[in-house]
Amino acid sequence: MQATTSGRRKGRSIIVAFLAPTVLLYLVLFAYPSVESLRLSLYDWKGLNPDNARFVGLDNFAEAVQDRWVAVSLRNMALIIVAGGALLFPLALLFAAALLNDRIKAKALFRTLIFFPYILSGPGVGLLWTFILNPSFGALNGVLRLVGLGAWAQPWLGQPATALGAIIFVSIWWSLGFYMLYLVAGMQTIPTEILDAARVDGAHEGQLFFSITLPILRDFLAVAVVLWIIEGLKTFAVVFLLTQGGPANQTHVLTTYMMRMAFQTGGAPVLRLGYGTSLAVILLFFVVLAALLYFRLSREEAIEY
Amino acid sequence: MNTEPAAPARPAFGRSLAYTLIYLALIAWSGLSLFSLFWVLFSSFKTNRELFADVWALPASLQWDNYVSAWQTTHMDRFFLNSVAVSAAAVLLTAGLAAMSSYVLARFSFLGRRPILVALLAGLAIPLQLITIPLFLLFTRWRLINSLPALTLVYVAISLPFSVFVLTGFFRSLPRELEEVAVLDGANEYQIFWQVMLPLVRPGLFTVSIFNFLNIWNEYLLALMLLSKPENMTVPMGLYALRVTQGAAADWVSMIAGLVIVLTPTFLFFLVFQNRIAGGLTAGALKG
Repeated sequence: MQATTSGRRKGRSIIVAFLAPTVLLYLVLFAYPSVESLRLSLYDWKGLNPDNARFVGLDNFAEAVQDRWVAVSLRNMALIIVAGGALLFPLALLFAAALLNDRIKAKALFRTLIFFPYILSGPGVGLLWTFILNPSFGALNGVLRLVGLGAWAQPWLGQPATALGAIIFVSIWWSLGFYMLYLVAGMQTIPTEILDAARVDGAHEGQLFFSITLPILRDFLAVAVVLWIIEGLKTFAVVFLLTQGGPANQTHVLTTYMMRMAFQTGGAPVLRLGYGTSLAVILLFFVVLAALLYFRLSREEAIEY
Repeated sequence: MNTEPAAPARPAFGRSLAYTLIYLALIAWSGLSLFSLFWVLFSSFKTNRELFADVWALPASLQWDNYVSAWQTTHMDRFFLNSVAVSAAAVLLTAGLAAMSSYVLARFSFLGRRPILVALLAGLAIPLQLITIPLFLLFTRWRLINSLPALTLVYVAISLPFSVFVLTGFFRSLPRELEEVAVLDGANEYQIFWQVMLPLVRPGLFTVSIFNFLNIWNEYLLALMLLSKPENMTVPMGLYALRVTQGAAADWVSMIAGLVIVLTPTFLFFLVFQNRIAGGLTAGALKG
């Protein structure tokens, strides 16, 4: 057996045999389309016929910078990330701490009920909430009328402000359980001796949380925030199902606006494949930035090159 | 960790107030989820007239017809068959390919190992939106639009980065002595993989497969681009189709019944694998 200094073995037929199918498939169906999209973003291409493609350099990006709806999309994504995060993380922290507290009962039930939305499909979540938010038969307006607040009942998805609020809330509802469990895992890394010692010294649970748990949890929280940023950047299904970017294009995010430009989801066919791809490249730019941050912050050095 | 503080720093009243507030938050949030599901469930058994008349009234009699019409009018049986076939094939194929390539990447030294690993892991950061348009053009050129086997291969390709990421970690953690003993026993390279190494990473393979299954079962963006015929659609697209047609159709209760049909298997899957899903989260979960 040939062992290298790094402890890995050397060349055998098994290397090619085991690696080739993965590499081939990945190259053709993932790597190539990724690189190809960078090239496509430099073309002005209307319709499906490749003959209509015209090289325009960075014109698509110049147009995107001035596109009013790109600006609206970026604003909405920022709102989802910032306003959503401001609501999501305090709740996730509170629930995570509660799930590790011995005085809280029925933890398994709470955990299940808070976590399950995370595993539902985007269209499932979107459709569920279009029913709940429906102006005429939806559960939300139904509750408001039931408790005498009928005046507050409104077409939630039909007005830009409430539609955006609904998108943010549904995004949180979908993901909260993941962040809760992630923070639970983080809190479990804290040695119980530290907490016990502080308890003996007379600290109450609130003090423990703010002076011990939270500081130790900082790295976990940083990673969780970056994951939320990436998720916020990629927001698609909730917007697509709830509003399709409407009313009046006010609730678009980059992903839905890109689909709208490249294909025709709602309204007349657009089929501007080059421009749509350039929007995807802009999205890639932001996601890669956040991903680099993630690998930077991720405490576990899981990748060893 | 349940030791009563020697000297409570706060009066008992303040503490129980804090716990009451925590309980209230927990109950409010989980109650919201529970009631949404409950409301959808009982609405799915109403008539359309009942649905609009009183949002909170229980149905006078159970309208099983809603389920029948949701199942029949939307090709739901086809959606399920397609989804099961595509997800099962993609998950198994991914597990096989990822196990083999991760084993080689983690335990052998060869030229190109590092670039291949970096290229595969870079896929973790690439949003699916980026590859939809080039894939759509590729599939159009190769006349693969509406081909479920081709879609399955795409799902394998997009599942590889996460699977390789997790499985290389598992393979790397196995002790070197295992291989040495197997070699002394006269096992060849392939036998070492099958009989010694693969059984040891079974938990990792299982966790990865559960996540891949959920991601693929729930995938809709690529399906939306690469499939167009109703008889080829998968379940999440079927839901999207419900959303599109619901504007025109007046049959809301059947739509709601359709949603219940679609959510039920996912929910059962979740109840069965709940602990493993929760446990695997720290290994890194991805949602498209």
